[in-house]
Amino acid sequence: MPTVFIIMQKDLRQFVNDRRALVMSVLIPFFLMLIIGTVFGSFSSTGSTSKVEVPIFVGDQGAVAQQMVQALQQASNLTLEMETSAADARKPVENGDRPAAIIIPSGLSDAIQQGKAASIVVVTSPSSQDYRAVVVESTVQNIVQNFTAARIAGQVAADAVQANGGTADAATVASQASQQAAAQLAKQPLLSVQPEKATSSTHDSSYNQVVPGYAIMFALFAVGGGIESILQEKEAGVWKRLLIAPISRWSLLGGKLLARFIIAVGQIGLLFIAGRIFFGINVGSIPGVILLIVTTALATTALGMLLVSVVKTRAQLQPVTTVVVLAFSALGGSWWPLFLMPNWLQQLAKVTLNGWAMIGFNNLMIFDKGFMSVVPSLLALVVYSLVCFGLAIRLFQFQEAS
Amino acid sequence: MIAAQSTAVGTSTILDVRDLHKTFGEREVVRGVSFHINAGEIFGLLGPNGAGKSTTINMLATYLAPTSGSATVSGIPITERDRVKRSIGLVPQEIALYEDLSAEENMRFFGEVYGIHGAALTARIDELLERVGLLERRREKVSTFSGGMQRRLNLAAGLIHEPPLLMLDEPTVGVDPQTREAIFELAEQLRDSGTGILYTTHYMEEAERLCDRIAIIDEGVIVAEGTLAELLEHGTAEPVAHSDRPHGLAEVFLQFTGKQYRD
Repeated sequence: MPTVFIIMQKDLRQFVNDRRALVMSVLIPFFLMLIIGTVFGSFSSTGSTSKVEVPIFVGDQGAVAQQMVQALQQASNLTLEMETSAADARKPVENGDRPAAIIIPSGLSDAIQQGKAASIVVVTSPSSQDYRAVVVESTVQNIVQNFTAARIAGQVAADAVQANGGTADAATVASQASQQAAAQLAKQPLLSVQPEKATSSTHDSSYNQVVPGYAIMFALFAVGGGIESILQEKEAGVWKRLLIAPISRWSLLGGKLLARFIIAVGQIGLLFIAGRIFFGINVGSIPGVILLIVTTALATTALGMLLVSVVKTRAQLQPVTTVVVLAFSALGGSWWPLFLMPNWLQQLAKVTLNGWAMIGFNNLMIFDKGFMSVVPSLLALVVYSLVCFGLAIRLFQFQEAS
Repeated sequence: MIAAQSTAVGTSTILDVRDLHKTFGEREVVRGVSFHINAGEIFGLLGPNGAGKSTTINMLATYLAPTSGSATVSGIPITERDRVKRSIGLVPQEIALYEDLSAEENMRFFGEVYGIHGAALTARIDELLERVGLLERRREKVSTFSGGMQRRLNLAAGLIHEPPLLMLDEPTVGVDPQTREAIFELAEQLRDSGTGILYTTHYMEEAERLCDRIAIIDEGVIVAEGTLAELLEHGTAEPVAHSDRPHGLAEVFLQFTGKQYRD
């Protein structure tokens, strides 16, 4: 057998013999494909499972308004949420909880009946990144255009029949009606869509999403790599040398974690400073951003500690870290805004520390909601850290059983 | 078994081990080991792989808790971990150093861990690096050192706090004759200055040269203990077949531990 095949055969045997590597080489990509595919799938506006939830206030009880509501209810991509006032319909959009709201003002039906112009208000998300707002606006636009076209067609047909007293032949009536319809369509339509941005104080630069998202993802990678040093020290014997030194075990572990925490704070902090200088990101509340950075760094350190407690070797840590970091980033909104995801995915994101951190950063940096809006995220990240540390302390082995 | 005749436990005893046992699950790895080491004595602990040497050392170094039995270092029970740790120096088989730090940074870190600071630490680092021939390379990263240099620094790091008991676990694995000789000389200097040394090795000629007394451990039990002369004297009772060489420690070792693999 030629040498090249002997070497190939040996390498393949080594690969197959390493069961963990074999499983991971298939399992990791599959797991990531599943997660990322699920998240991307949720962006589809045409899928039956991805309806956009839209608050609507119907301030008019006339026939035209009812016709509009019926048409909107039949739209396959919208789920209407009835609200009792225009302010109530606007609020979830201003909060970033819904991409758009529809307001049908009072007197709309009467105005149309009297041949006066009227409009339906579509309040859209302040973020230009939110494609769902475009979906809602264009759906309402289509319905309004269809209504207008149908109304003009009916009107001109009736006018044509009336003008000819029922004596003209069908071709003549149709020709006259078409000319009148074309003339009507060229005029200002009776019913139109009036788009409106929810608030003017939002910051929709993509860097307000990308900077915190990627800072958290790379902090997770860095913490994973840093915590790996504990396993490296165990393998090299340094850990044993330290354990027999006159220092407490918790000082030893605590010192290492503290170093990782400081590095994570520094890393995320520097990326934010660079984002501010080079991309002009909006930080909203400075105390809010600082506390979010600190608690996020704490949570990444705690998660790293938990990972190092459940794996035995560096070879095992690497694939686990890769899966956790990529899955958390995809699910937790590091790669795309969480508020674009369907509700169930936004809830699932809260399993990840990225999810809690990104809710806070989005509130501050995109929706400009102020310090109080990040308090739930801060508390959640502290609890997240305590849970991870608690589990890690129970699972961590200072020394391997011989 | 050859009983120890040459020395007895006395006021100069640094390490006193009595009936030490260690069990992992249902497997008893160390089964009633007893011996002692006096100040200014090199005590060799020899045994095949898996005989219980490392487990014994790990217990004495407070890394593992004994299942039963007792041991004291300078009169302090090893169960009083916080007190006894300052009296013990361990040079593990592995190069237990930070490769990405310099020789001096490694020494300073381990010195500070033992509570030595300032000028005293600097002087101690200088002295030890001089003794292991690394003073000129003090600012270079350990990763740039040869295997022998790393071994010497590994030894120096174990001495930073001047322990009365030093445990050298196979300190000459993979080193050239010059470094081996340097390690021997350092061990002898330490012995002469009163340090008690527990020395494990698979190289019988090292034990023959260095050790004042030797214990052979097999399957968790000390099967022979005495001076080199005592062990050789016992070994001549059953000469090794097909050997025209004079009996040495290696033959005695094989007599007590057999020729079958132990791991």
